[in-house]
Amino acid sequence: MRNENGRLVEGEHEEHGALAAENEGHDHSHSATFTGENTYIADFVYKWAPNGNYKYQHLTISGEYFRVTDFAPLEDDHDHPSADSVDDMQGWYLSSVYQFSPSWSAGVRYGETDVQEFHGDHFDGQKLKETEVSLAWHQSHFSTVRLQYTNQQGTNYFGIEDDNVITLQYVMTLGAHGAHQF
Amino acid sequence: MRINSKLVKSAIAAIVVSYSSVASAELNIFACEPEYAALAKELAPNAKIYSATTAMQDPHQVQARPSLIAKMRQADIAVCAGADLEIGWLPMLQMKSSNAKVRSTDQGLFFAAEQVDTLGQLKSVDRSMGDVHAKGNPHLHFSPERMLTVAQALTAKLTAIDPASKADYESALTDFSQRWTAAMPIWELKAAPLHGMKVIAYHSSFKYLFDWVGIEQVADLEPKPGLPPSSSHLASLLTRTEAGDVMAIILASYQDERGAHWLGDRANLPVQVLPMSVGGNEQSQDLFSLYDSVLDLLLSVKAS
Repeated sequence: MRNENGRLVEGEHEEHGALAAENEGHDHSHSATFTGENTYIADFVYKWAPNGNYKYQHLTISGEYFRVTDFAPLEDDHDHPSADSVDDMQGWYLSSVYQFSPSWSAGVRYGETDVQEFHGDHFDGQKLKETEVSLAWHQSHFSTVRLQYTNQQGTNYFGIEDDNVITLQYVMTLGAHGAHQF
Repeated sequence: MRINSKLVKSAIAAIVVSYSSVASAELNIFACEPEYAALAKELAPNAKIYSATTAMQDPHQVQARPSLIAKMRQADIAVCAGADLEIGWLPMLQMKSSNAKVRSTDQGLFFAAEQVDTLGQLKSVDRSMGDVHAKGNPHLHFSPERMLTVAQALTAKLTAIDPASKADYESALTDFSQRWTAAMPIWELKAAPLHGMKVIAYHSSFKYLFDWVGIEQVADLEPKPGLPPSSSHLASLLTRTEAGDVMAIILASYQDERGAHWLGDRANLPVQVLPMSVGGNEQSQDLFSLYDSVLDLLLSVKAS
């Protein structure tokens, strides 16, 4: 994906007139945090079931990889860091979910992000490693209860250092819906 | 190196010509289930036939995977059971394959259930009833009379799509109809001892078979259509078997056997897996041997 306007811009002071007025009272930016001129994405899904019969047991393995390049601002009238002085931003995950009976499934997921925070005159590396395990009960095709444990190991990542999160979700689908994609 | 461009051009032309002639001679048939692949093979023996599922796969729950999309993209005709059996995946294949030929039943799409009167049609359905089909039970390939009607309608469809081979399709239909109608009274004679037999079965997969040979399905392993057997439901079935009239527990080749064995062990009933379609066991190589095998297996249960 190529976005000519994807390079990072420096904070609020570049915004003018009406936009700045609209943003009054905000001390944060609404623009994309991790963006660049070129974004490369690769993903895959692999599914397996005994005899190809998905109803009772099946395994799903999926993964995704992102790489963002050319994000350093082009203007060199400030003391901007040059585009070469900083690593590309990247992130990936690998996930595996096994449905071992029509109503129970368990999954594991691991992912990492390695991004750069722009500070006007320099970049700060930010890292996050995330490990998750989940157990889900599928009462029917229309409702699922999922218990999930997440461990996050962050380095300079929005204040996350060593977080443990337990989530209980109830996922509900209302009404008839069309066929699902692979 | 200088390449003889004339030679290359004529070689390309030859490939193109041979490819297009193959394409017109060979009709590409996409069957949703193996029973319709088998029927298509009877009626269009020269066609290239692909079955999207096997007898070991529950056709209610199939993944619209990329290889199926690719197969559908090449199809001239898609032959499916219909009555919403494939509602969870066929529309996605149609959308993703963007093949106008199989988009609607006005063209190359064929639904067997639309050609016959289905059993178990419902006036109104809602989610509380489970996975039910308002258009009736789609597993109609175990009704020999309905299959004959479907064969006639499919031949008409084949002729409409590929008029050049009309004579071939008509002679194939005549041949199939003769063998099928000859086999029917033999099957019925063979199945006579099964009449009045009471069974517990999984889903309404064999509704047409039971209707035809006179077997009564007194209970279902599924608490509701599409839901797996629950322990409380199995316990209520165990109570039901105490009446002593149930003779067997019947499953299809793609159904989970655990619930059936739990019940079979406690109620001292035989558990019999029947091939749901062609390829469901070693004996079932075409529609004829499928019927033979299913009746043989039921008779063996009855004798035990």
